[in-house]
Amino acid sequence: MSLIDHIHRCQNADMGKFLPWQIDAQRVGWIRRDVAERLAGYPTVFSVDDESVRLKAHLAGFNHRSAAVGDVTRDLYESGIFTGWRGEWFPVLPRFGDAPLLRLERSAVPVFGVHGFGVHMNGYVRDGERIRLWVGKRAENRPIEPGKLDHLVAGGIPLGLDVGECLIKEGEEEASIPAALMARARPVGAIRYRMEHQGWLRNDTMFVYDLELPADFTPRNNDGEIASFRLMELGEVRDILVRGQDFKFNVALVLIDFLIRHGAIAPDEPDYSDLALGLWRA
Amino acid sequence: MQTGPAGFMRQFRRYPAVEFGRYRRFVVADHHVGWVTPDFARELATFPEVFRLDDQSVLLHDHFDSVEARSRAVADVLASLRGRNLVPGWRDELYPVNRRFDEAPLLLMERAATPLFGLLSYGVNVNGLVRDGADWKVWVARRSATKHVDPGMLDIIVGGGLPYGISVHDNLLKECAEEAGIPPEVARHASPVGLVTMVIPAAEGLRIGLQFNFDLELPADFTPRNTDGEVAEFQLWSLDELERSLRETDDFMFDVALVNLDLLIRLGRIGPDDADYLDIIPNLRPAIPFVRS
Repeated sequence: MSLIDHIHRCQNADMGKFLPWQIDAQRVGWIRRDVAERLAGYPTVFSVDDESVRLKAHLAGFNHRSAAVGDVTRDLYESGIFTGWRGEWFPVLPRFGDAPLLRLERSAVPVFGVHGFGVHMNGYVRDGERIRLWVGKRAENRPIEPGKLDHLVAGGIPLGLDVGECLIKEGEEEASIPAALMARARPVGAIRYRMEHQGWLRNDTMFVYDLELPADFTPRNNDGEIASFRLMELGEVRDILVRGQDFKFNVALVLIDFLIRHGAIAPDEPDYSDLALGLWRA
Repeated sequence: MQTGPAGFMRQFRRYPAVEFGRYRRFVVADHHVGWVTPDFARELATFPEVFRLDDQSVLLHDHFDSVEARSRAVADVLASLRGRNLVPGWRDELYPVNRRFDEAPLLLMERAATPLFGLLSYGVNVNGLVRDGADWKVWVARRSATKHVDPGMLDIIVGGGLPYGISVHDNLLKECAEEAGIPPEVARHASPVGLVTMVIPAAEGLRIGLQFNFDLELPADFTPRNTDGEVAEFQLWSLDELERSLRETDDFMFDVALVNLDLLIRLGRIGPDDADYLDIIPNLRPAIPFVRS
């Protein structure tokens, strides 16, 4: 395995398998063709043809749309189309910053190929030119990628929180980082990928943050999602990435970005430009 | 100073979107490596012993089957075109022709001809940063009025094209010395931070660029000094000044504006609360527009 394989792994979606999901002529997601056929069975909610899945125009307004799509989502779940109901709401919107057109159960976000947004924070300790990164190990009971290595702080942005609020909340829940310390976290970019994962479409944008932590800070998990934390040399992070898939799939992308921005991958190394250009797929 | 709509996205509106349908592909040994305008394709068609045209491409004849043979054949054509003033800004520097930086070149070509053939060319930039409390200041250069490209515009303190046969690191040391008088013992601390790419129409054809960026912390008492006559003056700017310039003017060279925006994003000066954040980021790194074969 080499670093570029992590890019290929996450940027693997064959969009020909999906139909665009449109609301008022704006695309808000991508739906697998077989699921689209199923949605055709709800003609009061969706109109489906060979080109697209459209939400019926009479479903106007956030509440109305959310209720109608929510009923269908519950039906699909109960028929076993997808699993892992979370009971959390995610927004459905054509463009980040727009008002949400409806809310959707979190576990259904990849089923509808809805554009999901999340925060990922690299928590690191600097000692001169030496940088060490805090790495978490995901709990074994997580629905996605149990036991894999993860960031200090990462999470999807639910309905009702903005990027900064989500970051502060995750910092507290995942690593007990006080809000005053989290306020020093610095936005450093964003990564976008489209991945077929467990048969569904992960259509995700990750807002990336760096936070330099004091040497005496030790993270402590509050929500049971992370089993343990360890401070790792960048060289070890890189070795683990090259060795295989120990890191959660999308964490690998954020780490490659971190290694690039902090000079731990250099331009004359193989695949440098493909790595840098592979961190965004429109 | 030009005026126009404020906001960082103005930088990406400086050039019209490229309509690839207007160009012919330039193909060497079955590899798509460039884009040629119809006008220039007509010129190349007058050298049938070197180039062959089909419906959508200009192809270098396959019987030129080595880097040397291809480079020589194209150099002869360029010498002839240069005699008719069709290759402006001749540099006497050879650039590699390929689709990726880590690919062996298919041929080497005079730098001034790279936009005519719509080739991918490489460059190196160094952000010259000076600590300013918890923040940074950045050195800005103004290009000399006699430069062939973008005379008098604002520039990065160290930036240059990457010719064939010199490593990124060695080129960086050389440019640091020539352009800003930064000694190698300082320049070698420059840290790679990523890249930007650009695909823009140029007077002669198409400019496709991939530029490797570095950050270099400079001592507060260091003053850059230009030794090659390419820079008119240097100024030390606050990030606020840099931000304002990029929001309100087109005073920076386009590729340098990209490097500066990338810097402001990495430093957290532009963040998710900017409504254009997720539009700025992909515009800093558009895909290299070659059809893979």
